[in-house]
Amino acid sequence: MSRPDAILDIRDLTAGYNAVPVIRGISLCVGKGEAVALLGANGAGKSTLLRAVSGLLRATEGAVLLSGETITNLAPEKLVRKGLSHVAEGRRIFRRLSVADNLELGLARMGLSSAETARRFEEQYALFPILHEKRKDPAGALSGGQQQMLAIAQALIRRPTVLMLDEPSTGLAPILIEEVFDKMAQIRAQGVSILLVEQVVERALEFVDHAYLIQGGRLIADGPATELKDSSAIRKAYMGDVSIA
Amino acid sequence: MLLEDFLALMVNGVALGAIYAMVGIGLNIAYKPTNVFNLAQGEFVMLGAMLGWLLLTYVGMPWVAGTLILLVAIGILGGFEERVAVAPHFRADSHHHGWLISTLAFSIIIINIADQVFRADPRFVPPIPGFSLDTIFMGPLSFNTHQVAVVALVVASIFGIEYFYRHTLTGKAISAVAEDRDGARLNGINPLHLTMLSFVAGGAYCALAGIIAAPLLLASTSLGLMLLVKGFMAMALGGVGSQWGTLIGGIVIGCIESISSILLTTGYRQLVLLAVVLLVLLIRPHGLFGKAPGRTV
Amino acid sequence: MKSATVSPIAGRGSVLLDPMVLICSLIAAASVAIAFSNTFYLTLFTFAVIYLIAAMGMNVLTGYMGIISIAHGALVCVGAYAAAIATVNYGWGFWPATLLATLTGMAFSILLGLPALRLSSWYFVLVTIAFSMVVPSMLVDLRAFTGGYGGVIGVPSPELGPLTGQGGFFIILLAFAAALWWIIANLVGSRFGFALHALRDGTVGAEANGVSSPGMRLFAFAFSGACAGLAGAFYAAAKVVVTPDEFSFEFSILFLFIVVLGGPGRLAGPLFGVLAFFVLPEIMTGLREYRMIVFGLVLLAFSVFMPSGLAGGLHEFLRGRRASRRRAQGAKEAAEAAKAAAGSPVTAAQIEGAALDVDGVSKNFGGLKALDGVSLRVDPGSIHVIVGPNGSGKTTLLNIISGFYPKSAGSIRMDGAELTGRSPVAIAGAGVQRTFQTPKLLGDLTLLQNTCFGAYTRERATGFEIALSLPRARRERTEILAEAHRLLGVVGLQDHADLPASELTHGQQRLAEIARALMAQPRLILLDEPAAGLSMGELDRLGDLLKEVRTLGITLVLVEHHVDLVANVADHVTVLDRGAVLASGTSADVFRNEQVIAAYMGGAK
Repeated sequence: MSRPDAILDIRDLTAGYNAVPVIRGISLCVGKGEAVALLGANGAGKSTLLRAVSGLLRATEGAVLLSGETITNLAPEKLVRKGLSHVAEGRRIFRRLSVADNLELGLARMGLSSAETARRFEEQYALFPILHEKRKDPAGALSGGQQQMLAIAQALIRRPTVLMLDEPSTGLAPILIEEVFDKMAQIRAQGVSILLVEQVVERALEFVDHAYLIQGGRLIADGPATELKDSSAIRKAYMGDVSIA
Repeated sequence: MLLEDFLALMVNGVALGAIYAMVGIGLNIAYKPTNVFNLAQGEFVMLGAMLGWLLLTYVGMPWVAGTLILLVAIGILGGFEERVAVAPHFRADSHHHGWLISTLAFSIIIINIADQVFRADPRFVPPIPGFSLDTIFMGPLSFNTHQVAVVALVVASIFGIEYFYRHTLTGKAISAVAEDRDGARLNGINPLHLTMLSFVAGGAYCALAGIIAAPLLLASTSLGLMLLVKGFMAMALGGVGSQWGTLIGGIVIGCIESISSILLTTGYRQLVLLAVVLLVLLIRPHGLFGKAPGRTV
Repeated sequence: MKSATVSPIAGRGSVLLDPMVLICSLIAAASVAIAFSNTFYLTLFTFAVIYLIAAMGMNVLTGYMGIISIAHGALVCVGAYAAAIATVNYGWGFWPATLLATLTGMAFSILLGLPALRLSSWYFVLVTIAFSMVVPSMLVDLRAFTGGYGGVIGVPSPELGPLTGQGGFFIILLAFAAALWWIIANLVGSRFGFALHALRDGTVGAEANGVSSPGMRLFAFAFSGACAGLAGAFYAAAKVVVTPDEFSFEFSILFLFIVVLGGPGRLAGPLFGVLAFFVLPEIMTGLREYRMIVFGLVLLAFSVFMPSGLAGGLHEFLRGRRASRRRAQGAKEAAEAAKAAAGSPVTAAQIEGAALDVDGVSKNFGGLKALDGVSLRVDPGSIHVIVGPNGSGKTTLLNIISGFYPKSAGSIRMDGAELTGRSPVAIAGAGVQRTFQTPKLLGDLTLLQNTCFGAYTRERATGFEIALSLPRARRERTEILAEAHRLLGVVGLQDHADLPASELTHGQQRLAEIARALMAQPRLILLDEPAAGLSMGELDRLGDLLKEVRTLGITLVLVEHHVDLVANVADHVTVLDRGAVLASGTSADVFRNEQVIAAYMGGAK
């Protein structure tokens, strides 16, 4: 399944907790500037896959390549410097620190000049004006949508080549979900490849080029988003056999 | 009791309390990114005092040079302890507070080696240069300049620590690790470095507490355990993680101890302190300025 | 040091052939033989047995419950002085003075433990360090009472009928140690021991099973303090003279050393620890001065490399050797057990399931509304499934029903009785069991023991009856063991009854949790994602099991994602979305509802 133009190339990845595999032999590819969705019901193993790619969880089998370089089981703190950013689920920002401090931590250990740092801040403030407005507030005081923006900005400030987003819309009101997708479209327009895990299936399929479906830790289907949209495979992945019966 | 006597006791209590607070703050420093209380830190204070005697009095080094050497040495010892006694528990991911036993074991090793090397006699360590132990009278107040220096140093160090946590990248990274270890890693922060750093810093800070406490308390190998307990009491009264709370807790402990010293014998004095701490913990389990952690299911 | 008592965990097979029991018995017999060979050894072993008595008590607190104490030596000291003062200054007999010493040790231990009832256990470490520093100073200060530095002189030795002199004293000590061993063995193999283990692993799982954390902690403090006081009285008698400088800080560390080295939370741990403590100095006579340094190094090494101590290490070694031999035999027995269990009903008695009324329940976390006016009705004896996307508030609702979170508004009634505002322990006591997303089994205990633990709330035998193995406790124990075996058969895990729970697969742990919940004979079971991580075979078994449980009358509330399973078992399905009820009805109705499908797949409304 690997393609020559793949930026992120996941091959036969198996990983889990306490030696119990949650995902088994999953392969997927994200091309340059491409947006790819990873879909499946709760507990299918989507977050586990992202955690295994970013090194938070040890992969027991398989390989992950980033721009052709093997990064399997590389520690997450090393991986971020290679251009892969992972926005974990649940708006994992540092609530007790200010918005600006959170962004600064996004650049931790990047070794940038202060001029470059200032430029990176400007970039993010331009993309998310609300963060500029609230830059001195503790991140915990932001609204849910703003926290999600901050989590994304924190990952983007490193200018990653690949951005992995784990359910950025969870718990947000529809209007805010739309805003998140708008921002993701802007990010993608800058040439960042996106691997998106989403619950909002229809909206996600409108956004991405390609989607993969997993069920019970295995890949069950994949294809261009436009094709998958009308297939019964998606409904089956989420609703089992019930809704088709 | 005369006003002069009372004030002299209070001054003494505040100075003692500042030292106890330093020990408590040292515990806080190592605790922040690790959730581990380093029970060997009392012995680091003792080592600070004893090495202070060795370098400053016995060898006769200048104060600043000697102090720098022992801060570095004890900082390294703290880092070494983190490697052998704490890091293995993190790796094993055990929930059984194994670090309580391993850091206590580390402290038993240190104190007994120190006993072999230094023997039990109390030793004199000079005050900070420019300050002295001579009593100064000012109206009804009597004090010495070293006492003033100790209190000033503690206050300055708290400002410094708070500045570090709030305004430096490393300090913010430590706060980040304390809040969300995985989240910090996804931002390129290596928690193991910061855990190590905090043990080094906690060790060095306790060493500093030791060398400035020694002129007031005399350096002896039995100092460590006593200061660990008093430092813990200061921190427990003030609230874990709160440096200013710990300072207030330390001063409360110091003043109770100082005032009771003319009324009570050693045993009763310790008993009163223990009773005060037990009582406060019963009424306010997380101290006077601490916050209860949220419940997780 | 006799130890030929029943292993606390009677599985199958003869207890007498248990190599651990055999080894302990040999050690005890050898010790007695050596002790009576000359007076030097008699004195040495007299102290060894006294240390053993104290260490066995400490093992209950520090080993089984995981609360580390540095004050144990100081409590022995308090007991020693209580006995010495009562006999010498007030002319009491030895036995009344011993009772006084025991009670004094208990009282001080409880006093020290009071703040630890609510706080993390590291507070206790420092409070106990402070206490062991206070005690020697107080002994000096109270010189009118304690004789100051000179101490109390002339404590009499115990006598009992024909047992007199040093030999008689030793036999009395042996009898006490054996009795204490037996009592502890009875306790740790009972619901009390399981509860101690559960609290060591965290309060949530324990409370959900009806264990009151302050109550058990108080019990552990009292018990260990009483043992220390008792040992103190014997210590005073053996020493004849008690002085403050015997009870240094090192004396307290010594007991920690014995417990950690021997094996915390192991019945034989203190025996091995005491043995090591008395053997080690013999090996390093030339290193006498460096004794404490060696202790420190050994303590560090054990806490890092061998946290289960000598007893744990030996246990693992024996288990490894035995495993292969037993496998063949086990398979045959298991086949028979399975045959016997097949077709047996889940439980003998029909249970009257509870009706659950959730009425307008809301929950705010800070500004976030996790639940917003959720109402649902669960019929008695039905299977009610709550489904919904991530973050819709399903687990929050379970946590409110079982008492772990306070509600922000609304009411929850079980058969008309209000549940909100009651503690998880009280709710478990009312007949509500629950399982967790990550199974909370006690990894060190066997599957069988974990299952027995489920009966915690319905066992009637008191701690006293269990400790002395009185008829009611024995009867109940037999019943519960039989029941646990049967329930393990029902969930298909009878082959693994003697395996430590930590060695089960994830799916097996989930099924084991259900068996444990059934042990309580609950009226309502709350299951949080029981199907997560199950294999296809296990999934089928789970479906059958849930339906079987329903036939007994037990009400089941599930939070579940697995749509096929839901459709298979649910009588009623409630769909939550963003903290509110989106739809409610039979699974067929609900899953054909386009709105539900949209919500499930996250379609914007």
